[in-house]
Amino acid sequence: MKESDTSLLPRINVVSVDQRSLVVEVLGEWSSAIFCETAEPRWEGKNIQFDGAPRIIEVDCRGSFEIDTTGAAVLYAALSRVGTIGNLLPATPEQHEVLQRVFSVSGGEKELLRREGFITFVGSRTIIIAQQLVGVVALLGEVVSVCGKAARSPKRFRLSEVMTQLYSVCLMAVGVVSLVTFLIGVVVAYLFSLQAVRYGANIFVVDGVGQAMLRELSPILVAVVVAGRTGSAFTAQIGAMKMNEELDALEMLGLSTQAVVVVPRIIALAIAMPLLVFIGDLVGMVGAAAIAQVQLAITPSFFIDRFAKVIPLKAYLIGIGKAPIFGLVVGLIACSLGLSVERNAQSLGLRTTSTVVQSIVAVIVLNALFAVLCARAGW
Amino acid sequence: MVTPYNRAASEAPMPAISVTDLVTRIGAQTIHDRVTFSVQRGVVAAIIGSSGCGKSVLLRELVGLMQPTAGNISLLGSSVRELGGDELSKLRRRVGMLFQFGALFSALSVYENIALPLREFTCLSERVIREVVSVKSALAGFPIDSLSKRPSQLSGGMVKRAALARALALDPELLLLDEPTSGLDPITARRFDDLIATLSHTLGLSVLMVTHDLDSLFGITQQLVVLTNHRVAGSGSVREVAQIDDPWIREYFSTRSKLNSGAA
Repeated sequence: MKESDTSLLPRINVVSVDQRSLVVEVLGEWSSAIFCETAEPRWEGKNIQFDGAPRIIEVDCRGSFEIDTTGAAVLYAALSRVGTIGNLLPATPEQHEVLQRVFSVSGGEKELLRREGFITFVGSRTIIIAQQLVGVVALLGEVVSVCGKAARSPKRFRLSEVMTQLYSVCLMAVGVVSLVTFLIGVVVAYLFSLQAVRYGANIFVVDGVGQAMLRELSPILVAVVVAGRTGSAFTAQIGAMKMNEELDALEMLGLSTQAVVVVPRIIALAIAMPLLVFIGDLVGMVGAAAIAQVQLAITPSFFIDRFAKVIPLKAYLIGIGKAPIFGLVVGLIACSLGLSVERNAQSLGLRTTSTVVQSIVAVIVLNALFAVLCARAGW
Repeated sequence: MVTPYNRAASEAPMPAISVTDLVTRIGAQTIHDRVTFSVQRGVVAAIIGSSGCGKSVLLRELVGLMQPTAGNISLLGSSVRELGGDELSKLRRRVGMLFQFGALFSALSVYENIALPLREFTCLSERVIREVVSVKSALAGFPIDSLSKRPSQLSGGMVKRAALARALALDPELLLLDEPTSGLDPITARRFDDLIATLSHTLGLSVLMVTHDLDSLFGITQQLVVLTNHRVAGSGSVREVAQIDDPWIREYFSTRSKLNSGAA
């Protein structure tokens, strides 16, 4: 079909029209192919008012060709705006069959108009968030109950599964945790040193960086890295297992999803977090000592000496003590969202993203809570 | 030919599908060994063969989703193996494919699944697309009030119907069906056959399906291609094929006669 050749284009020619009846000729080609090049069929001949008058339409299709199911549906959509289809004059018996078949199932378009309003949107999101919160708490309960059973019969404790998880959660994370804490140690020590030099208080860099790193920075940074690295992986693994009906298969074998899939992961995370935080403390202080040497001419041995003198054990213990709780929370959020994945690709992506966001927010909120508690307790 | 959709070209007496000396090897395993057959336009054809004999692979090779080791495949007059990029995409738009498990896009609703090709390739307005989608889904037997559901919320039979509606969205000239009626109840399956037969009869649609549904075979197929031992054991009308002296074919059709005598 060429652009200039309009005789092929789908057209509706109005032969006669009044309030009760309408006679139209359907002309041109009415195939899927033609609607890839032209949008709506053109109205020709006499003018019609789209006034909703109940007209009976006589449709003469003898001047048309290639009407396929798309063409027939488009024709119906056009004609249904000006009346109801009455008499039909087809070009061939085959065409009649197509038109009859399509017209008999047409008119469903109006039922498809349903939109979500703003209030429904807010409501449904609120319900989803509430459900996720309940999910996390419920999972905590189930984890505790599984652990309780395992404590009574240690044979049911899946040590090998925990070890497998520890390998990927802890050992494989050492590199990225070291990198992040080293760089933060460097940056924080540098900023401290800029201020300290002004007051001639060079040596207090050790006090400041030591306290900040051990108590706050290292646990938070490690938790953020773990949330992004491990939490998202947990959600994706469990979600994929759920989509593949693997979890259902486990249950049908008489195994508990919580015991086999969830608890080993959460325990591994709760063990891995303090270990990683310890590495973070160590590497962060190495970074700080390096900057102290370069910027403030504090030798490493003097740095260590000062560190041992001014940093109390409780700073280290508070930091390390928060770590398993952060691990537990990240693990709970990750597993609970993984279990709530639906059987479509989009929901897997959404849940994985949510895990990272929710874990990081939860860790920071918890950390603030710990800070307040410690302050109240006078630590 | 000015447009890829020119139906005038389809008047020419070239077969819808023509496969010559097709060889497929995956690793050391031979799947097809010089498979040759053709399907004329407007014909409803079926491929049968034992499970794992490469029927689905054959369908995928026909549309270029898999590359055969050797041989020639001609689809609607174009040689699939020589086409690349845009040309292949244009050819594929003229072919509807119903995958064995539907392959609906899980992130989209059924409505959006069916509307996708219409939105991408036609200039129709959203209002008209809604009408077209409702017609296609009704033709395929998919209830309109379920169009807003996600594929994950559908039963197996519903997935099949939704996938058929999507395959029919652009009124293809050739329809490839991978086990279309498996998992459907007999009533829905016969309605499905009826729809395929009507489309083929009224719009000149060519159909090639992989099926084990004997009712489909006896009801609507005009041509049967039997694939056994990596080769075509026979091709022709169901009656002709049933006469062929091949152990697998004899056994295949005897399952039906046993059923019939059991019922009588």
